[in-house]
Amino acid sequence: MIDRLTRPWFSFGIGVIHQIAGLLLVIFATWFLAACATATVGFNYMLPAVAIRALALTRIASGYGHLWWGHQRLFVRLRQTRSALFARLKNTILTGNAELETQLEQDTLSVAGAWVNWLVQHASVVLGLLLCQVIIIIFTPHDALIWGGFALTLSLVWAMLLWQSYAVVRALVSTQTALRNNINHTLNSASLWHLYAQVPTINPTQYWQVYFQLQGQVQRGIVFLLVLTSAGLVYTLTHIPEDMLGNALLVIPSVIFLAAQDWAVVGFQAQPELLTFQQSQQRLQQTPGIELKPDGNNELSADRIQSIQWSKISLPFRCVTCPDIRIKKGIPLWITGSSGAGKSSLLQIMQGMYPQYALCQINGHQRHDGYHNSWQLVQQHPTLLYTSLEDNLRMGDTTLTDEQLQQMLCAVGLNKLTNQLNSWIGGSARQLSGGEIKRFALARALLRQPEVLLIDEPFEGLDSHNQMRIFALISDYATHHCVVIATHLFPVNVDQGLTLNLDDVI
Amino acid sequence: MKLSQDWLVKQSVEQRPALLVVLLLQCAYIACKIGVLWALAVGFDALLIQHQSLRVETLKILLVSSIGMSVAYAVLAQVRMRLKMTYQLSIHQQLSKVLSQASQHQIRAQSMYSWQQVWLQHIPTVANYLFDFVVQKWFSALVPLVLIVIITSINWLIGVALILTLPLLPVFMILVGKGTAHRHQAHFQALTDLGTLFADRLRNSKLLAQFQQHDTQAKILDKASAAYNIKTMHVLTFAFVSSSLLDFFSTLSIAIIAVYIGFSLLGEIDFGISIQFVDGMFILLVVPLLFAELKRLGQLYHQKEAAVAASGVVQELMTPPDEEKDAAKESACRAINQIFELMQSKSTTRSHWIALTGPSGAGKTRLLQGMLELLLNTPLLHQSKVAMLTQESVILPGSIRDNVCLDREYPTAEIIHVLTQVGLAEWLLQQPQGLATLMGDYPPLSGGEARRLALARVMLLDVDIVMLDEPTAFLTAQLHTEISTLIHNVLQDKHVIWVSHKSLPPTWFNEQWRIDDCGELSL
Repeated sequence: MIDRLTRPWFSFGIGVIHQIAGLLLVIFATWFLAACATATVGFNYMLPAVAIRALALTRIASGYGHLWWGHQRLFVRLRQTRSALFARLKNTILTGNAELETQLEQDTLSVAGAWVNWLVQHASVVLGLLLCQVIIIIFTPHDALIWGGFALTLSLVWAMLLWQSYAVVRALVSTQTALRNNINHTLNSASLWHLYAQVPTINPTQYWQVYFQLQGQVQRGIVFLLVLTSAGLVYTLTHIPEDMLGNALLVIPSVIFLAAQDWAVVGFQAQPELLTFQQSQQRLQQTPGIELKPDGNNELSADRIQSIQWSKISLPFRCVTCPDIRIKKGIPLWITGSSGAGKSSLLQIMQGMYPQYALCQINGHQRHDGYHNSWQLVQQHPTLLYTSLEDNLRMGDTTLTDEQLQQMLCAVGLNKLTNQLNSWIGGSARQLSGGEIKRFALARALLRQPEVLLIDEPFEGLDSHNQMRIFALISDYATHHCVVIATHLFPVNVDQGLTLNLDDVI
Repeated sequence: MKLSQDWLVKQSVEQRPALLVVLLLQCAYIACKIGVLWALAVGFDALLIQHQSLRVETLKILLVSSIGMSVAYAVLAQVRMRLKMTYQLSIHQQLSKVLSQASQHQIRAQSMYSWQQVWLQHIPTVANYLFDFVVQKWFSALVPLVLIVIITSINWLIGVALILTLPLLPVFMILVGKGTAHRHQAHFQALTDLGTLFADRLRNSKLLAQFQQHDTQAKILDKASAAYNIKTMHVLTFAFVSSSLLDFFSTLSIAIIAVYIGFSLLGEIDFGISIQFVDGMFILLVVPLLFAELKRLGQLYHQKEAAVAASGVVQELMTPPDEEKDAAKESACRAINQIFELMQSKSTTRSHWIALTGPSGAGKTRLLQGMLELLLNTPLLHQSKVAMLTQESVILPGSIRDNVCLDREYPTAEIIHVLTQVGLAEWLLQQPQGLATLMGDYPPLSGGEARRLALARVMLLDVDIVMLDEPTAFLTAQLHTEISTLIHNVLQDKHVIWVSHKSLPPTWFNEQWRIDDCGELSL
């Protein structure tokens, strides 16, 4: 039962009933008053009076129902939209800018809300126009043509304004992007402002102008509606056939034109909503991202990896070729180079995120392409999942005991977190410092006991004591596994062993 | 919260003349609308009761009011947009002024996204609040009062009935406010919580791929959505009652007034006052207006919530931080005095090099920033020109020439000379369009080359003092030596203050400054 009530047509129907009941109530009440004033003996006044109350109650009840089921529907749609988007993005790494996720979240909201915010409104307007046409044909056929003409003109204007708004919305999106870039570049160069003759400023004028242009379109539509309905009102009042004089029915067309000023407005007001919906839909369908192709070759972990060789490596955005890289179990490889030299890209290539940039061979013979998700890459700026501390640590292996987690936290020097396994971290929850997140991510990766461990800048932002601790931990792990460390700084007194300096390559 | 609301109130006081103009236009619109309704009632009276076509006067009123209504609406829409634009620009200008004097520290304190939101969202939100919500608030209190006076003068019984509900009006206002506030809170809280979780999982796409956690997390998200939906709907079920109240009253009043007037006309009920058809019709037509404006206020309520949040951000940016007399500022003053003494004393050679050291977190960067701010913002000191090189070199997306010259003009020969001095001559030759090559989002520069370009920028300016804040951070030891030697060579004749964690030859420096853990500077 409940399931059936959350179906789209139900909330849709109830919303339309709400609008139509309001319209009918106004028409019926006015007619009733006119009928009472012109009543002849034997006029049955009880029935219309009951009908008026019934309409009022229908309107009130459906109003509440529309609010309730409309929101119910919104939440159901939101859940579906998000689940669908999330499912589509499996094994995809989003590559857009920092605000992409927030944007996508907003987009799902606007797509889900389209039902309540736009579809019901427009359907009510269209149905209202048709219903009024039917009422006029039945009761005052002499005005049928004028209402038909009005409804047609209104629809045409509505469609035309929508068409025009498309261009404006396109301009809105492009000026918005321009403003975003403008703000980014201006503020990013804050450290240079003192070198300028004139401090650079942000210029939002263009974006705001287009924004108001869009609002202006809506207002123009409403003004048009006012003019059109006023003309209709004057026409219907002045063109009454002789035989209609004194007939209560003659109020109907005028009241319909008058009421249209109120209920047809939403057709114009909801227009930007429709356009946002379309934009959002588009963004949700063309989310920028890299699709990973998992290697799907997990039996290799049984056949222990002894050595890996990458050949024909090319670094993206840098027109250079990198020498072949060969690593062996027990001997860590240090990749060094200044920031911007391409260390992070190289690590990602090694993990197989971009299979086109390198060829990978394991144990000297097997080709092994694709994204190696059984290997672990600890990012330069790792992220935490917005969930509990223990869930973060158990991501790779749910069978780990609390003791194992605590042991690993101590090993990376995060002893203070060992008694807070249940507390939430990441997102808006408890914040860890940059250095803490780094060590936490390393702990998380090590708990999975990966065959191959790739670490990006593990020492940056750590004090020398922790640098030594992490170095010891990594070195220990490296004796039985394949390990690659990318770093621009080395803890003191470190025997670097096998090193590749990317500054020399470029 | 309190501060931001005070700021909003202050804004509405400052903008009062503009707001009154909008209010006046709204009043003109509603007056014309009442005129139309009156003409309509009179017209119906003529057609139905007197069996005549419309009188010329009635037609005149109808035409004038109709035209007046459309014109008033069109003007209102235009004026409202103009005023909003003017207001937004004025806030933008104030903000720009504050920004131009803000320290880098203040700018870094917010993410780029939240900065973007200031112009894309917050400023327009405050404008909408002022010119839509505040005006509507006054208007929705004014219209019912005027209408009740009109109705009472026509039929005192209906008037009295409505007056009895008059004390209810403030109750309505509060109900609308509270009801919608409650609904918005519940609604938005749920949406925000869910949204945060969802955005977080999207943001961590790399992590989920790496740990093959996608399917698990998809299930968690879906379950959380379902749970939230049920919980939120429970809260909203009650919140909706209060928002439906207005609809309830307006619908009911139409129904009751229609039935009452109809029955009085028929003579079925008689409370001792007769009612004319024309008056009855007018009252019936005008009663919905009584509630329409309050309803609109409810629809605009979300603007208030948004404006309070937005004004919190804008107000915080606009009010410069308190003139804190902290140790950093005092140290900066002392440091600057010291430098000026050195510059003026005859015994110093033409250039003076100072090394600034101290443990990380002691406030070395803060000290340099403080000195820079003092030098730039104190008119007397401004005459001595100063430049600063920071840890990260900013590369602008414009051409190489733009990057080196910023907004100044230099002869090409001079630019090339400087680029040669910093060792970028060969690199420049490799660029397809020479100095006009655009850097774009992925500048073809290695870490070392970017430092050299930043150095060239400073060298083009004829400055007296150069402050260096770890200009070789994030470079390998080898590049550090290379770049710092280059800096040493090209800035020989300047006064230099150099912060570095990495070792530098002590022979380069005339003086050593130290900051201890408490931020105390020893010269």
